[in-house]
Amino acid sequence: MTTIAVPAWLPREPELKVTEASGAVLTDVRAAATAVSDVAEWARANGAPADFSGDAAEAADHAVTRFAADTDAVSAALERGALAIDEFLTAMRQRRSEREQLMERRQGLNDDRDDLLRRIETATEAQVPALQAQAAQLRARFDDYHHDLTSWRDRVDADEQKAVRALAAVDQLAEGVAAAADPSRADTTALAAELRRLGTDTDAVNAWWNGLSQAERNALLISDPDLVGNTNGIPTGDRDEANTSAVQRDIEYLLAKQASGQDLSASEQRWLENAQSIEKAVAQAGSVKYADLGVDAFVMAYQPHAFGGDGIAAVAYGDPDTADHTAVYVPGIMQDGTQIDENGDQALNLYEETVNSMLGEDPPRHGSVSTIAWIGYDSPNFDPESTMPWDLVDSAGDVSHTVTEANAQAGGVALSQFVDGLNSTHTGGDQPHLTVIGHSYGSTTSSYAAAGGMDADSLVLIGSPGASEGVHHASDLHMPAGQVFVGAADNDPVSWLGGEHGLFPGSWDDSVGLGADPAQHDFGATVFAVDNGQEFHGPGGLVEVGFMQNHTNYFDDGNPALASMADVVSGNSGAVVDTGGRTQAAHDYLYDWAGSEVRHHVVDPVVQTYEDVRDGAVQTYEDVRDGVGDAVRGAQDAWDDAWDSVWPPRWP
Amino acid sequence: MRTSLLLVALAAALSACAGGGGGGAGGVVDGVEKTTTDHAEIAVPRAADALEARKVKAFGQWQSCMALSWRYEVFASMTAAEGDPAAQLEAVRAALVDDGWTDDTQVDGHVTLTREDTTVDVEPSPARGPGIWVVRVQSACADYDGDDKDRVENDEARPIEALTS
Repeated sequence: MTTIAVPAWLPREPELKVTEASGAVLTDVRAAATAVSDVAEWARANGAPADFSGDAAEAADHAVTRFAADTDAVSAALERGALAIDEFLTAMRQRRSEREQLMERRQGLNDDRDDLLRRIETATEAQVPALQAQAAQLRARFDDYHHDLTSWRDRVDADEQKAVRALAAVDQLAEGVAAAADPSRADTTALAAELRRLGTDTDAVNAWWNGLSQAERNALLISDPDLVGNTNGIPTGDRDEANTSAVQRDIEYLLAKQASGQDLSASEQRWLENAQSIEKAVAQAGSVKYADLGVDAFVMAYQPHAFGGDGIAAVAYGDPDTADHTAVYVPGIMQDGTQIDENGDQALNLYEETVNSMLGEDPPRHGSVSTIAWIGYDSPNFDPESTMPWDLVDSAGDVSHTVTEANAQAGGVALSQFVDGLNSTHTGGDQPHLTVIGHSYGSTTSSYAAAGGMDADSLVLIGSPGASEGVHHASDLHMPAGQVFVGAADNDPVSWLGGEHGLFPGSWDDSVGLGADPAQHDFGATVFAVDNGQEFHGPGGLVEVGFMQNHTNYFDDGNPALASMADVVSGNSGAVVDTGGRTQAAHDYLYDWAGSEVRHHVVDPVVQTYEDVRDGAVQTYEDVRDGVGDAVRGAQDAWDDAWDSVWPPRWP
Repeated sequence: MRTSLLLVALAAALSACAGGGGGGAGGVVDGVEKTTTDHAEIAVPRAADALEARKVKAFGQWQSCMALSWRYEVFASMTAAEGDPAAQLEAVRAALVDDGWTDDTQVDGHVTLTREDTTVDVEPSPARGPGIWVVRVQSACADYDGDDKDRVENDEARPIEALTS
């Protein structure tokens, strides 16, 4: 009997238990390390001075000093532990990749084995020698696979042992004390000082950061997460790690304080709202609504105490350091760090529409996308929880910034630096295609940034109250030719505020306001179609429809504005149709609305009353009714004539 | 004069965002939720039938309109039968118009319809995977205050079993 030895079918190797989600452990350890580091720092600052002598030598053993030394030892131990975990997670990421390759090999080998078995089933005696040779070759390939699989398992074991040893080396206080005194321990004070010195030179920051050892980066992430997480030029993944640790540290601290029965002060409550909003913004990428997109969230800025507690926050959906197309969305009035989750929803919707737009092309276009909600400036806002007179005054003072450009000007500088950071951290050099989208007062901020030389490829201004002082034409925004886009709904009252000239051209009021209306035909931007929204009447309508709906619907599904923004973001701006823009001044929209209000509230009711009388009281007297009808129509015409004479078509 | 205009607009924005706008009265939130869900329970199955879809998942949740106001949304995703997206969109449009919805489509690749204060938008979403379509049924944006505001701000997504298959 002839024998052909076919190797045994290869089973699937179980997946590693350490996944990307295991990174949460590192975040936990870093958050704990940061908290201990903060305590150690406080204790050092409040312990007995090192140069005490004589009776004061007793102070060397001062309880606070000892406490400072102990907490520093714990901090050093956690720092070592976090580094060990970080290195382990990095190694496991590599091992998972290697396992995937091994499993692909396994699949190929099993397929070849099945193929050989099928051919053996139907083989003739003459074919046996050739099949035996092929079986031998296959056995050799199987042996190689088993060898590589064993090596891979050994590497996994070695990684685990290394991590366990590193953690065991700092699980005693004495070991922590030794770690704290280790001369090779990263000098985070010097590192932080250097990072601050590099400041806004984002290329220098990026080069410096990438030149640090993993241990130095790890130490700085623990000692100064607020600095690392908010410095433009630090890679997005590291900013995210730093900020996520800081958010977790803050939430744990504030919730623990609440749980202990202490009331949070107003500023602490605001601090908690900032932190929880970031947490929600990250979570919603994995929410039931958006989980199918499979997009990762990155916390790119978190400063809960900025701007008197309004806070700074930025969250990216999709990694901007590797994206082919990146968009930065800049919200406007009434937005602050406590609303980053709600603004993140706009960014996620834009993300989905952009990817859909690309995949909907014929043929489908593939590419990675990142959309970022950025609240990095002091948007004028009103605290709706204001109840006390001084709070109301404070809030009103904040909102009054809407009528000046100071916040937009400062915000423009911050936005431009943020964009510089995105260009510095992209793995392919500058961002391949970066779009900035400003909404409402955020459009004025974005215009300031652009006019000042922001390094973006496309600019979109929606619902704009003005394109900032000194900008008279799209060319003043220094974007590449044809890359300024504008959307303005006719019934969006905020878009009625733009205009370089006041109602009395050449007089004092020219300087008031937020600059030119970018939707004007002669501004020179591509003005895309938008959903103009509903007409509305009365102060209630101005609020409930004008501001609530017509000013906030640009990111809604089915609004042409969203589709056009997606085309711009994906680099398909040639598909954006220019409507030609407005041919009447922005403030004339307001004038027309005011006129229509007079008609709606004064003229129409009078006519309606006459018609009711006509149709009701004299219903049975047709001749009379017709006569009255003629009279009413005559009266209405007279009203219209009179109206035209008292209400000119434009501002007087 | 222009300053006055700006301040008028500002005052309006302030009053809008300080609460007491369109909603606020007790029961308003329940009413909006019910109306939107009722409309969704008609629109989503019609769209699914038109698309010969399976694996329908749906849930309802309050969401913000740029953090200035709030609306209730029923969000559904489904896996449609293979087909030409343009023809499938047309089938959805026809089915919903037959059902009394008013076509308000303004964008290629979407079908948008309205009924009273409710809007439904249907689109293929290849970003979610091959053959995936999404249906969003939304109320109009409105402001809420007091307990209603707390509720809409902290709302969690809830599955709508009647629409899930």
